[in-house]
Amino acid sequence: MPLVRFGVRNEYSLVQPELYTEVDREDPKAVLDGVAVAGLVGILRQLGDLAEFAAEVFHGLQEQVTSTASRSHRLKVRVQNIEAALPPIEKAILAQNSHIHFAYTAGSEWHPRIQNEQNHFIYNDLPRFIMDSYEESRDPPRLHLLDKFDTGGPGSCLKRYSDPTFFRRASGSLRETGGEKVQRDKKARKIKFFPSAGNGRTSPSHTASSIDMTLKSDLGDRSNSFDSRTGSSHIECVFRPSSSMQPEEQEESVEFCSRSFQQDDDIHESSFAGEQPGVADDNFLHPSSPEQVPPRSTCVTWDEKEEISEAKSQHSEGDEAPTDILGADSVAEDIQELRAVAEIHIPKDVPFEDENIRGPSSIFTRLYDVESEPDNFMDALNTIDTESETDVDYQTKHEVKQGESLSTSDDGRTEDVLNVLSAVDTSDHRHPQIDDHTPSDTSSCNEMAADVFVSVPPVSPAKERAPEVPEVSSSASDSESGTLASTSIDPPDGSKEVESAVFDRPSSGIAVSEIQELLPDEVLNSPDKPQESPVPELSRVESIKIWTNGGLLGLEPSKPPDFNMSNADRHGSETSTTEAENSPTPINNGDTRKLNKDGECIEILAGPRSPASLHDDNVAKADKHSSDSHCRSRFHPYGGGLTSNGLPLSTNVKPTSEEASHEDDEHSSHIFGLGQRLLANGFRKKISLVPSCEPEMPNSSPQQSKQPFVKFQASPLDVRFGHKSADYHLTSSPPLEHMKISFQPTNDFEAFSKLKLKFPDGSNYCSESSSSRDVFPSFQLVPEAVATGRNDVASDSDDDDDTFCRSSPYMSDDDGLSRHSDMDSEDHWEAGGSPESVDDVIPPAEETAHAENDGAVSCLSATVLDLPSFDDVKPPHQEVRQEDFDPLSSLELLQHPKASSPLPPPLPPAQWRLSNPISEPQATFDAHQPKPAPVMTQQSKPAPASEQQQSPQVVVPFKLKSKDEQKLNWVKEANQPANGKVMDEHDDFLHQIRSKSFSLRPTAPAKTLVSETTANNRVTEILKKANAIRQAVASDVDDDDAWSDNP
Amino acid sequence: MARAGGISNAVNVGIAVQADWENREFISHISLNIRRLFDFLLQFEATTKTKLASLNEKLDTLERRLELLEVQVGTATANPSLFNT
Repeated sequence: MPLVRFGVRNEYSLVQPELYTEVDREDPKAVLDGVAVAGLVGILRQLGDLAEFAAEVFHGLQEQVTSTASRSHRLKVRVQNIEAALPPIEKAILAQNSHIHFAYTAGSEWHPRIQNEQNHFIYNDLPRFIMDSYEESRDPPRLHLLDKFDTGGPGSCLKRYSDPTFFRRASGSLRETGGEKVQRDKKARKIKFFPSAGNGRTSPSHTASSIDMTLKSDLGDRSNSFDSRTGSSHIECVFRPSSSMQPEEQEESVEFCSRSFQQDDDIHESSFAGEQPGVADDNFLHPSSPEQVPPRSTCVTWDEKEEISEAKSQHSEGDEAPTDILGADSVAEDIQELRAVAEIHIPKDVPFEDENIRGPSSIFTRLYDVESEPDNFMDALNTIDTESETDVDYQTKHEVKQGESLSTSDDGRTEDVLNVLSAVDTSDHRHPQIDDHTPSDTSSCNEMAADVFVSVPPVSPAKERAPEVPEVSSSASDSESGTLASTSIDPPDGSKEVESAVFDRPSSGIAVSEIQELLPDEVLNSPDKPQESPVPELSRVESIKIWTNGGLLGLEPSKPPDFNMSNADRHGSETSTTEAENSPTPINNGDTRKLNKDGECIEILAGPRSPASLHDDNVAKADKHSSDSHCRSRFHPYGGGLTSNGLPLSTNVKPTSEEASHEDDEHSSHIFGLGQRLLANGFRKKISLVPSCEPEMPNSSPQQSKQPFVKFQASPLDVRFGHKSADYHLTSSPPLEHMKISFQPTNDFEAFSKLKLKFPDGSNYCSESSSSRDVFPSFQLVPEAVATGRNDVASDSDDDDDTFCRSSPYMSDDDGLSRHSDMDSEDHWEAGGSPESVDDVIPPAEETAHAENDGAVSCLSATVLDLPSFDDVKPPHQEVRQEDFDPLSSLELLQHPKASSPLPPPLPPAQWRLSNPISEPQATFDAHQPKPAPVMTQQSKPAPASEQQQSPQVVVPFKLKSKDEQKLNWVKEANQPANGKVMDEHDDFLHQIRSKSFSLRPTAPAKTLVSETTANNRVTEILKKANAIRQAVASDVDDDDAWSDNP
Repeated sequence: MARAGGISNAVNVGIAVQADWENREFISHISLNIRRLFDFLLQFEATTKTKLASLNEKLDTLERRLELLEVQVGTATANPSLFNT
């Protein structure tokens, strides 16, 4: 075939010779001019051709580009649709805690329906220049008129004239050389298949096949074929060739789909598309006339079968029920694809040499063989030899049948099935029958399709039917119909027979299953298949399938949901307790553990959140109780932490643990949820808490320290688990930490009680918690507020009880204590070190007091815990929080005050910070001013009161102040003797200022406790003052004296 | 005269032949360039179709995947119970 795309002729050849021939030859110039003109004219024509060619090229390109663009556009639309459909699904998926159950959900059954139009050899839309050659070609001579004189039957004469299957056969011969064995097996299968296909059917189309059969008979295959006939359909297959010699038998060969047909089909793909699997009418297509070929439905079915056979392995692996997937429309497309793939499948089919398998695969192989057979007429011997071999193979087939399972196993796909079947099968008694009934087997295979591998019974009925099937299938002619009929027939044979049949046909069954998939409509329509499918053996196989399908761990989907249940429970509890908490419990535990040392602080932080959660509308009263209990526990650790960084915490631990024990299961669940929050916020909080605890350490009295130590250390864990759920909720709020700082110096139980009250409000807790652990940031802020702090101490303290209280504790703190606290706090801030070491090292005097007031300590812890919640819960205080109290880190805290107000003055030296914080100012203020002192006490140790006062947030703090003043004073006194000596006057001033600044901020929350609005106003005022002080201090930061002098 | 006329005629013929050669050279150049244009068009078409074919293959792959995704999404959408567990 010419493949010249376009011929560019010589420019002079394009011109009419008259231009220069008719010129006066005596005038050479005229002649030359004529030639020149002719050349120019030829160039013009070449240009015209070029333009035409370019138009053709660009037109084709435009079409392709257009189609591609349309496809891309469609894809885009589809993608958009998918995108639009995804969000709800994503929400649904993300809403679930555990996704493991998805592993147990059955996937969606899907089969690609895309029709591959890019089949280069099959696709109708051949290039124009190729189509032109077809169009221009003349029809072949009417050699079919001579068919009656040719033993080869219809089409034989035409094939002798022109055999379009020549190249295929040539390529097939190459393949044969590569795998002769496979081809032999195929041929044997083909032979078998033919008899089955030819059972009782007679079609004119058989002539071609009959020709092949004649060749076979010539080879002496007839004898075999006859024998096979007597014995089985396989014999018939051989027979048909002979019968092809005989027109009577040619009818049987109708089922044949000669390779030529297939090839023709491939070449003339349209014919394939038109094919219907069931029809075997005109199987014989003259290679010359592909148009005649179209009826090769059987061929198609075989091709499909082959593909199915391949698919079987997949299906066996996938355990999918293929039948439902395909639609009628898809079937035709699939068939076309299968045809295209058919050749490829053939080698694959070869491994399915089992007799049963051979049925379908043999059919396919026959397609080659059939083609090769007529080809044998043409090309002769090669195919004949192969056929003779096939016959011999066929004889051996019976023997091989038992081994067929093994041969099928060669495919690898069917190995599993074979193994299963091998366990079952005992006798291959019917192998010959089965072979004879290969079509029926195929039909049975169709039945098998759904059950595929596992379902032995469907196969068995097919085997049992095998004797019957040949007739039925022959009557049905169509492979599908035949299969259906066979399937409809119930296998009378015993289980053994059935089993044997199963063994023989696993592969065929697979192929059939594929066919069913491909042709779901017909197959599915046949009710017989499902009926036959149920067999005890099938159950076995199904079980296996289930395993394969079973998902990941081989567990059934129902099993896994346990996680879901637990998760759901968690969610329920968490949701009930906390609004948005979905945090993973394990993480929380880990975090709490990590924070064990620092955990106290964390707990404190979490505590404030719990009240916040309580404040939330979503939170139930029970949650409140839980939070209260949490607050208690929090307070305890807080008190411990506040009073003595290390030791008091231990003391606090016991009460917290007790409270934890009191806590409801909900609390535990909350704890889990909180744990996540803690994880998120805990690091920051941890850091902040650690320093806070440390400053408290100096405040705490050494007497109490020892007992509380152990308790305190243990407490954080317990509190975390039992109580900290709420705490975790609240952990995030920065202002609370700040409040903690102010409170830490106080250490008074009453103050703690007040703090408890504040917790529900959020502001009080914030102040307390900040006093306890946010000391560092507060310290940083303090130097800024130093001036105001003094002013506040003098005047504002009276105005704001909270401020005094807070300032007082800091003021009361001795230099040594404050230094320790600051040092520790700073170290902790920076390194995030664990408070335990500090605790161990430093037995603060306050700890004793805290130990005495375990309840108060717990309250403090709770307050500390509540502090973050405070931030969350109470927006009014957020301003303060934003400014100064961000819990993230001390550095952040430093920055925050800057943000809130002008840049804070540079931090005073660490010693200053340390000395300032709590003890000294507290003592002084406590002695001088009752209000601030009680506040300090409240903040420091109002554990019992705090427990009681948690509910009455506003009123209690004042009460606590009054009550706790004495306690605070006592504590402060204890701290003062130790620290006061160390402090210099300047330091004292600075500390006072700092403490005032601290107190100012805490006061704001205290005010909020009394009245949130008023408190907010006060807080704002205080903040303004603090900012002014900071500015003033900032200028004086360089000199310590300036610090003292400025205020 | 005749001689002179013969010379002139010969000269004219020579001139005509030379002009003819020039014309032929010109025509051959044009023809050659036209052939090059054809060759260019062929190469252009081949490369373009190759690229389009690769693009179509990719589109085929995308279509298959999209089909799978559509089926999966459809299944997920049709079975909300899957997510309720």
